[in-house]
Amino acid sequence: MISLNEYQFIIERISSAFEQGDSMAETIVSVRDTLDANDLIDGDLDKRQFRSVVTSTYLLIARNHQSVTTSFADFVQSLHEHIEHHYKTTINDFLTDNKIKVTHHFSVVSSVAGYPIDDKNIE
Amino acid sequence: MAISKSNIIVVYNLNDTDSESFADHYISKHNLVASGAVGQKVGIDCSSNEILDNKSVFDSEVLNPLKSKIDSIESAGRVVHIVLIGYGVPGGFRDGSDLISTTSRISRIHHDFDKKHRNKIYNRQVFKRFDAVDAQESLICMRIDAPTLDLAKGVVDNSIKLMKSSEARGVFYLDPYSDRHDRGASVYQKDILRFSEKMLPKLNLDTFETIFLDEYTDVVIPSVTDDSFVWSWFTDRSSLTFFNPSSADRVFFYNADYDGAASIRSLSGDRWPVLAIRSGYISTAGSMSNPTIEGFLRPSPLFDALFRGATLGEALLFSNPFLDWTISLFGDPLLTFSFPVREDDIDEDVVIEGNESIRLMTIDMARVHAYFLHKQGRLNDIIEKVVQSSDVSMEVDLLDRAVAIRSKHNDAARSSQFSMLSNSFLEYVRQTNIENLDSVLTNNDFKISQLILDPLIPKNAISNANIYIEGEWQVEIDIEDVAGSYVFYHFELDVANDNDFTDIIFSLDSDKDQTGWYWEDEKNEFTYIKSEGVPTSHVGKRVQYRSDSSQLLTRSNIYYFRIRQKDQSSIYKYQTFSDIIYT
Repeated sequence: MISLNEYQFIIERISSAFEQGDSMAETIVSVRDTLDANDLIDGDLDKRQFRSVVTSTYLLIARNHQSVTTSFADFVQSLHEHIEHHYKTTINDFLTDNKIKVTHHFSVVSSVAGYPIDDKNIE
Repeated sequence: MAISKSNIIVVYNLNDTDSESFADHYISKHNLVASGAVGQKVGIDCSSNEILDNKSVFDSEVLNPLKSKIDSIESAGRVVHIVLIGYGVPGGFRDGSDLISTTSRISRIHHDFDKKHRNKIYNRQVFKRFDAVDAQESLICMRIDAPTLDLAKGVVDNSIKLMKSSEARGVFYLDPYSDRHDRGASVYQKDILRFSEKMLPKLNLDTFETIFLDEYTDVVIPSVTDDSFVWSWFTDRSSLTFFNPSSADRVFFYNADYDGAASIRSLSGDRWPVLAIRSGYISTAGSMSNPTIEGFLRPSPLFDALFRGATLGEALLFSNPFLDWTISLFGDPLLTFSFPVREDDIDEDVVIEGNESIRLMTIDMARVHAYFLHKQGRLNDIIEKVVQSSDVSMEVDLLDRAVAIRSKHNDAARSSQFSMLSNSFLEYVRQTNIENLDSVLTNNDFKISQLILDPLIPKNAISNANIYIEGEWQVEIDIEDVAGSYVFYHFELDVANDNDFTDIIFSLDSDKDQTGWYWEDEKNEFTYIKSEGVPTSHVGKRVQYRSDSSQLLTRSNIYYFRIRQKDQSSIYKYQTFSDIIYT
């Protein structure tokens, strides 16, 4: 079965992967802000068209990188099934017994996967 | 809070009735308070000599009595930030072979004499109105004097007239060339030419500009007509015939030379400032003795400040490189006026110039790709960990699903998700610049990350020379006013793998090696930092470090950076931040 170190390594990577979605979203908003602040008045029509694409990209990032997608939920569901099956305990007791705190990001993924995390086990 | 007429005092000579008459005239025209504890009319017991023999005489006749009066007025409740040296008050004093101007010395009345003291608020690259903090460094001080009382009063009357009409519309005569050719002259000529290129067009005035012939010929402005402004240098003597009649307000005249302001009182004088005053100019400036070329006034900070609504007194202080020195400033420090405004000049500070916005957007778009790759890397780590596990059940339970997530984050997915962004950006640049992105990059010495180009069709839209080498990086910070005085800053930069900076990869110091260090000399224009460093005047502007090919970092990794400023005597606190490598 998965070791404690392996579990902690994986949930840290899941959390970090998920955080990149927020960074991507913040950065694409910065592109839009720069576009809005520029002085290329003559290119208003082109600016609107490009702005529309930037906004679409933001929505795409929100959907694919800030939301919990099926593939992420499926993976965490498998991970926690594995834990509960092999450690003969609930995921929350597993975390409490081993003094593992998960990030807020990971708790969201876990909740969507059907394994809500108790507040006491969240950083 | 911006200065106002409540902050001015007018200084007159107690031994000269004409001097007091002038002070009364100024007080009346500006509706100032003449008498009482906070009265703005200040008499001092001084001689009528234009130049005093030495600093000791100046201190006893002018500086000390004036300082005492200012202290008294301020303790009664009036804040004094502006001093007008009136008609008949000494204009300067001898110090060895130099003539130190009263306006320059009185600016630093609250400080000990420090000959040729660098003016901390000279040429600030991020504009700010003069305020109480600035006043601790230097007061605004100007002088109105002339060959006759009527001429001096005329300066006041015409200043009031211009303020009422509000707009200066006459021709701007500019002479960027002289017959001087040492390094200082070359720098000064470049400063004037830069003003001609960057600032003068904003004023929206008709202009006359001399043409370069050769380095031995001082090309001069032959004469002026319908003029409002003249800025020239050398050819230090002239006559009234230079000034043809003008239907425009004559606002500011400056000829940079070595002794123009030695006297403003002689009716037979052939130096420029007195000729300008006699010809109807309401403000002028000049050197009482050689200020060195680096000590000449600069046009860009003066007209930038006036353009932004500063008073003449503020604007001239901002354009004067040295205090306790030889430059004398003439005119009404409260004078304000505007230039004919073009609509596209309004709110220029809230917009980002087109090419700079393109540079910033390419960096952020590249960062988006880099974060995607960072995420991809985290998912690869998971697969690797599962595969390397000695436990078969873990691999059986998790591998397929780990691979499934990773498949949604491969390079094809990245191209698919961001191809529209990249292609649309290229089209936007082409439409708004009438040239393609590759030309914009070449013409502006910009580079772009390959990450943005990956989804593009066709693949060869950008020349290789305009694409970053993978792992190149640069950092950029705003220069802060940490020293509180005029200094030259250098910068220390650490790059680390961790936010505790226990694992430092590079330590760089612009004081020891300027390679890779740039400063924002003009707005959005970066040039190499020189060995002397970056002057205080560029507080608020940016400094950059650009890596070279021996300092490459790993694409899509996040690193930690800290930069601190230092000067000759101090090292200041770090600015710390992290960034992802997007090249």
